[in-house]
Amino acid sequence: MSGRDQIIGNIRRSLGRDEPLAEQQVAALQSREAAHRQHARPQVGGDLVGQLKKQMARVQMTVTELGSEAELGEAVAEYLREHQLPANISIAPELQHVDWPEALEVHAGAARSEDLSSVTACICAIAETGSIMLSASASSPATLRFMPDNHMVVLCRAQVVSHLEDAWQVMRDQPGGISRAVHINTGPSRTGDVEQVIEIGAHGPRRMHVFLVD
Amino acid sequence: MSVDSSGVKSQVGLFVTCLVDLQRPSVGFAAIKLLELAGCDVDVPATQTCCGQPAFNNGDFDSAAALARQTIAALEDYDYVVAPSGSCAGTLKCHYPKLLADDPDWAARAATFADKVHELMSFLVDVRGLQPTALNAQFNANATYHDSCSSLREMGVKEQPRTLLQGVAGLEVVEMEDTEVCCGFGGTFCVKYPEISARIGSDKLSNAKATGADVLLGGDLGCLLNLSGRARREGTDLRVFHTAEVLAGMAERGIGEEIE
Amino acid sequence: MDVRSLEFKQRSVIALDEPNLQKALKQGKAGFQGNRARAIDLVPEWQQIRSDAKVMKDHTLENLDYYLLQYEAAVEANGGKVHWAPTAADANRIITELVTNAEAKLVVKGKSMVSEEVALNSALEAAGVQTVETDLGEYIIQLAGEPPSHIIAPAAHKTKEQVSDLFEKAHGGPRIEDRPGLVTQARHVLREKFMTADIGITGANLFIAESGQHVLVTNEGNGDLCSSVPKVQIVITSIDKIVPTLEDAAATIRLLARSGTGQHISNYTSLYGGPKAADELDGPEQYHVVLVDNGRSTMLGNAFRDMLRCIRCGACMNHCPVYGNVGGHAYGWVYPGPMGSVLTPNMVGLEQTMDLPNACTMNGRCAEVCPMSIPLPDLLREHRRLQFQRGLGGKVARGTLAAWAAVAKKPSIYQTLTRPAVKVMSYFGGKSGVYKTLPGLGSWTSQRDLPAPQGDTFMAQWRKQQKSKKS
Repeated sequence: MSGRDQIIGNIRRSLGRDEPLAEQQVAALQSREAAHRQHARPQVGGDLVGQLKKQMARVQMTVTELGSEAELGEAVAEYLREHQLPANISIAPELQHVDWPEALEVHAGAARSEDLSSVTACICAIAETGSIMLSASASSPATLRFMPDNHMVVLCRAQVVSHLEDAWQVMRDQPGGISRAVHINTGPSRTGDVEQVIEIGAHGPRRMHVFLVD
Repeated sequence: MSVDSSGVKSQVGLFVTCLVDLQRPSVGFAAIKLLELAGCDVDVPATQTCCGQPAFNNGDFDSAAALARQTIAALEDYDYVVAPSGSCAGTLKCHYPKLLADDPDWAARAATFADKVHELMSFLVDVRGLQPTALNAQFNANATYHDSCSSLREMGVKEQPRTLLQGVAGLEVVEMEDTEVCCGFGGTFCVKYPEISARIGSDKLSNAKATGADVLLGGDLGCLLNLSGRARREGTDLRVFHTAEVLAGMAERGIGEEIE
Repeated sequence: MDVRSLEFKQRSVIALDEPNLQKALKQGKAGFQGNRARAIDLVPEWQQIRSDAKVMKDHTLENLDYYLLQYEAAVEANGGKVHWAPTAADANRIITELVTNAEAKLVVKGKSMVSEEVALNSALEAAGVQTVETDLGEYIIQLAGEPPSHIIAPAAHKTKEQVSDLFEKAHGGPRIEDRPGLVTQARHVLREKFMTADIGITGANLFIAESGQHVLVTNEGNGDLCSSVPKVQIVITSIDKIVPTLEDAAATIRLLARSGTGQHISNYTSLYGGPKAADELDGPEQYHVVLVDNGRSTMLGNAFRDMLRCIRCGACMNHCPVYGNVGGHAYGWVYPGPMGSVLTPNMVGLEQTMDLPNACTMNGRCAEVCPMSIPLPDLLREHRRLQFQRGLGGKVARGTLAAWAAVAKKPSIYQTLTRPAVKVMSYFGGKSGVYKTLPGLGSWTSQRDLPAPQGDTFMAQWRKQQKSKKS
């Protein structure tokens, strides 16, 4: 007997039935799924962007508000100068259209182990938790979110949603559906594993910065 | 408040608890005094012994069920059943119905019985509306109150004893850190794992001492025997009483204190 | 991993006098309890969220076969593969085969309690594969050759100085003594491992039937590097971690971090569901999930079903007075504290774990803080019932309790016997009011004095009072 049959068989015995669920019961489960049955959730105040910024501040994420994406290139260059970082970035291919300043060395693609700074877009931000949601694709390699020391994210105000459930909807509605990797990142990497004192920058980014654009 | 519309007082069956019966009868008499002050007629049926919790918590459910039947039969005819212990009251109220759930003759009786059961402090305040001003007690001390686990989590006792203690002249109650944390008694736990139990007890005592209190109060004699015994062994200078003794003006010699 | 739970008594007594451990436990307790309380204070809806999650999980368990099969179909539709492991040995065999087939030399691992449960690392070691733990806490205890002492803070028992020693020995000098320096050194050493590893293995905090995704929650980001850099991704998890939908996952995620570390959400909450697409620039080429049963499908049908709601947040142990004083190693296996004392006997047998269900004061705080409303004390008591039924445990304790019950069942005999005993004890208690030692009560008096009874029994005094009232 296969492992699968053993486990499923034992589960059914424990549930007091030897058969799979009857058609009618399956229909009930399917309609539960189709209805996206909701559960209780914490209330989120009306001003989503305000709530998002408040939550991001709690987890050491920093935010720069820009007028439009046209200002992004210069803002990134300024961020690097401010933090005395080399003037080179790895970007997600989705940001190749940005007018990057001449002085910036720009690499589009997956992260390389020596990369210090990355810039990516995202698919939404969640006000409830102060999180950025990113979906992996050819135009947005996942490693850019975890390997460089500094992760910069471009977020449009209209992309801010209220709760996790709203973010799921954004994820489901992606062109091509749900991608193989969806990340909900909430602040720089941290660890409390040495004497339960929080240290920033365990394996992932030491800084996570958001450029909020209209 | 003491008499219902027909002029009949509430009949309370007191479940004394075996620890109070054997170790510290003054807690039982203090409970009776307070219940009478709250307008109740109190009776103590002689067919009660132990609630069965030691058997229950050690996996001997048959013995526990036999004691449950005995206790129910002894007390079910009263309007209310009151115990000066959250942990025994919790056994009667929360665990008897589960123990007897599969017994066709007793399941319903256990459920009806459970509805009548109260821990002393919550009965006095929540059911009888006893006011602190109605007390006539004096006790000059700084005290801290230990929330025993079953009182707190099974019987909903938190503010009631504190409210009543406000009516005791000369008494100041100071809250300690971790007041809702176990004292390490745990029934047979304290003899199965004496070292761990003692450490948990010592933590409790040092939290109590840190408030500057000279008296520790609580509503469960098991905890209080453990804490007073540990305090004596450590040399921690802390007098230990059951809350009912202080409220009834019957706090004379603390638990485990020398006889003068 | 060897089961050493029968040594609980000895190991717990040693732990009580281990200064480093005691320091670490005090720090951990204050941090975990305070952070959780502050996080929950900010969510007035907490109890509703909690009860919704319980209903959701009970529903899931009631239809577990359906949801697991739905999940498998969804993973396959995503291009991944689900492997079914009825036992720990099956899980190790499956993973060893996957690793051998990939001709892997180096495996990087994210923290997985299920992998600890099945002792995966030793299986891989036996197959000649180097396995490096990448969660900092797991890395520390791997260097120390120790099991985790806490399910979300595996190295909670180690001091900074001990970590310095371990790193100096493993990485060479110079010795690093400051905390940021230690974290940075581990980052560099482990980054190298991520870049050269052939396979990444992680656990899963939950997995979703609807979408065929698993959810991986970390704060360090190590799990995501394990899942993104190597060519092969293997996930080891257990069948109870399933939820039907993304909405159900949200309900669980809201409870998990708040209950464990007191965060609103962990830094990295990631959903993975298959190998990379052909045009992607990074990501694994293979995606495997190993679903471990190891006794869980049996628990589904007995009194321990409620335990299958557990989301491994650690709140029960963070609030347990016993765990808080003896730490996780005393429990002698993978899962410590209240949840472990329920789970371990189910997995390794009651005979191997006699103390675990008993080393509990029944104070109920674990159940109060459990986000999934698991009645942990009731489940521990159920183990005690099974022990009693099978005649396991100390004969003396059994005899004493049986004698007490026999006497208590006969009120007149009880009163006849107890009264003289109380009087004698009161008399010999003398002026001191306590006993320092007492034959037969050594377990009490080894640690505390025994207060002497006041005098006569309550029942006798009451009878006298009633008589004098009548006359």
